[in-house]
Amino acid sequence: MITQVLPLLVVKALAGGTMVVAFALVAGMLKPKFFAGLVGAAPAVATASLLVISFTRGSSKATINASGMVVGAVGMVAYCLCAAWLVSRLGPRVGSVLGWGVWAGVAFGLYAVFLS
Amino acid sequence: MNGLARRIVLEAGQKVEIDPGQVARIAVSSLALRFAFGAGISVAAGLIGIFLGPKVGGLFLAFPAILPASLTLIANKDGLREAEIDSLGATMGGVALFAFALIAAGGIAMVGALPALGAALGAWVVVALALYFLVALIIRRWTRGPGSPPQPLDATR
Repeated sequence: MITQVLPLLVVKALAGGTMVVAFALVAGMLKPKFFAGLVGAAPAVATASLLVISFTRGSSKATINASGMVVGAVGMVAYCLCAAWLVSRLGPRVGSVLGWGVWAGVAFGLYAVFLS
Repeated sequence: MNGLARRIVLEAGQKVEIDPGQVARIAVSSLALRFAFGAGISVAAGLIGIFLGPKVGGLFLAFPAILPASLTLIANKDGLREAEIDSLGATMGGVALFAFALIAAGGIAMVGALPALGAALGAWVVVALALYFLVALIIRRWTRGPGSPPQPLDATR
């Protein structure tokens, strides 16, 4: 099975990585930092992955992925709000990684209520 | 007003600038790290989609994989305060990400992937910019008060 999906995963990895670098370059050009921060939640990985999924597995699969992403995005908002607080108290590494728990709680909580 | 609030008030009063010359100052190692995180989460979301279904895989398209790397790099280079501010800016980007996902979910099956994702990206830009300028305007109005002349903001206060 892995040999069947490996080329798709490689394409997704290259596309996702490239989009993230492109958005990072955009963010690097912007001032002030409060404004540049917007790009931290840009849909870099999502755009690349949804395009690849649409072309390789069809629009219906991409639509299902995007519907999951809707609740993931609410988790992202919660993460960003908490990360600012956590980073200032626990440092950037621990604080930003602990924030993943907040993302998981919100995203999977909403998934259980609305999508499962 | 604490230090973070003062800093945000200061930044909200600053003019937005685009300086392409700053790109040359971005370390290649930081771009490589971001590429690795982007590639990693793309593969992870793909594998989760295969094993747990596309809806769960879709959740991870909005997983904050890049932000920890960005926040760590910013904190090391510019300080913790800047990392906090970046994270608060990303909150508005996150709201725009919600708009992106809604339009993608509704549009891909209707008009196809390219037009729908183009529209979703456009919506992300519009919502993110609108939110930023609205929040910046509210902060400026709130800190100056009605009828009072604009006060110069001092970062050292």
